Amino acid sequence: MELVRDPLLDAVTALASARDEITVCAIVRRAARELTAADGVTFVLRQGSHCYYADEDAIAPLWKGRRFPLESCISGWTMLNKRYAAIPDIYADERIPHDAYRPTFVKSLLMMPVRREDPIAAIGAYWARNHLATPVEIGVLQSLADAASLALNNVQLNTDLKAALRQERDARESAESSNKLKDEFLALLSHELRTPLHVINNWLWQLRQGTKTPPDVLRKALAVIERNTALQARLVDDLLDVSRAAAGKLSIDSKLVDLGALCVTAVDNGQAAARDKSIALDLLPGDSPRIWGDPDRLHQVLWNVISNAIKFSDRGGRVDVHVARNGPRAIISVKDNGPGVAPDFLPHMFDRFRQAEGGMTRKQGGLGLGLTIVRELMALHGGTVSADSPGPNQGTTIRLEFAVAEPPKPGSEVLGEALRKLSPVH
Amino acid sequence: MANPTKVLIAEDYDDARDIMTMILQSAGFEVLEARDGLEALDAARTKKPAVIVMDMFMPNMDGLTATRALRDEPELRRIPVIAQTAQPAVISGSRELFDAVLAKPCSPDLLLRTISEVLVR
Repeated sequence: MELVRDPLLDAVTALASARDEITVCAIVRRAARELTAADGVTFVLRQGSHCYYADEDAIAPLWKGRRFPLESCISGWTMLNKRYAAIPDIYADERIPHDAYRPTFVKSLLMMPVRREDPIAAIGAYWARNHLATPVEIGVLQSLADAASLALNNVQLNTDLKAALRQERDARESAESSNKLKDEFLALLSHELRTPLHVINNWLWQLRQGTKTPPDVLRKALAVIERNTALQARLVDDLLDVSRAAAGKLSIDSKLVDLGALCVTAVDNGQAAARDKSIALDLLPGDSPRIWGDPDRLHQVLWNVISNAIKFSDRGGRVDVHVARNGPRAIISVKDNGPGVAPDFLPHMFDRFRQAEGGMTRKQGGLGLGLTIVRELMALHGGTVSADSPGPNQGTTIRLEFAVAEPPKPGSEVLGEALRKLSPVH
Repeated sequence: MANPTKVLIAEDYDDARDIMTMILQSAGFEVLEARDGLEALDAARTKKPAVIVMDMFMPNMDGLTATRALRDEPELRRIPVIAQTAQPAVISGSRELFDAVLAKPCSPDLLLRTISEVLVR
């Protein structure tokens, strides 16, 4: 027995395994033309208020790749009205935009919606002669449309599934990396707390030995214990600040602050640390804008930025602090000539727990919280902090930007004076 | 009097190295100092210490890498190495490289006792 090939069955089978729109279009296009013996077919997708002529197979070009409003064409009409249109003479039918058809061979057509209850596409068959579609042609095109509808649903499900899987994977990866960051941070925290504790513990043991401690050794002991205690206190303060910031409980107590004077003090305070590394720390001549801010917290911001610049500069380097006023903005810049920051790390400089160096051979101590605290405190001041590094060994500049405090309006001062004069003298 | 026993301290934190040196010297040892794993390897090769007290987190070469390198050199592989670290967890998988592992903060009593223990082994 000869096996008869059934084009509709072939198309339905192929559509069942189609996984993307392009494949669906190609199968429908080929099958529609073969099944209806039409001179051309189109596959039209609904895209919001427009129909998109996604694909075609015809004796001469039709409208592939073009978009029309649903109301202006027959494919739109079948989708909006949820039923097919069989038109034996298109020029006798006012649903047809005649101008669009004049350049084409089309004289008659059959337009079939895909997914009857809520059309998402349409299949068009066109003839170069006047022809009323037969019940058989309408039937096979209807069957093909039903199969295409299922296939498009499959494509949609497949796309949704892939997107959902991707989303799930991204969420898992981000949770894993944030867990890893936290684990590394806890290990680092343990290290940073135990190291000064070890020093303090060893010195106390030494001082408690029976022998009398010479005065210079005692002086040294006290200095080392003090330094390491301060280191731990600072660590605990930073941790508390970061956890307060995370809980939204960091607050500031604002007063009028002169940034020029603030920087003079900050640079003075940084001299000892700078001297230890033979680094020249200078305040360059600049402006003295006033801002609203918390003096203690602003000192903390500046100290974190300046000590960071010193910490990451090589011995004998320099750190320049500069205050400038630019219209309504006040800008403090702290520029070092150290090794700079790698471009891929720059965006993460202010992130919690992030440090450029990791692993057991990192050269710098600390928890990597200083700049995170700076960012949080700057936000509370309505300001911003940014970092810039032009390249390796070209240093880093940290810019702190604030809004300048509005000077009191001259008018109000005069008015105040006048009111005082008017008030009765007691 | 016999020559004093040589102890090599590999420790990058100056404050920690200073006090440990002072304590070990008071206990009668000759102390050699190294600031990182590379200096430790160098000192081990040239000065042949009797025992090494090794920090783990150090710049340039960490203590774990330095100890692995020591164990690969026939001349040096028998020198006892005491790991003294603020993060014992990082060497939990390489415990067998070390003759002892001490967690910081570590009392000098425990360090001195551990040194005499590994020396008589």
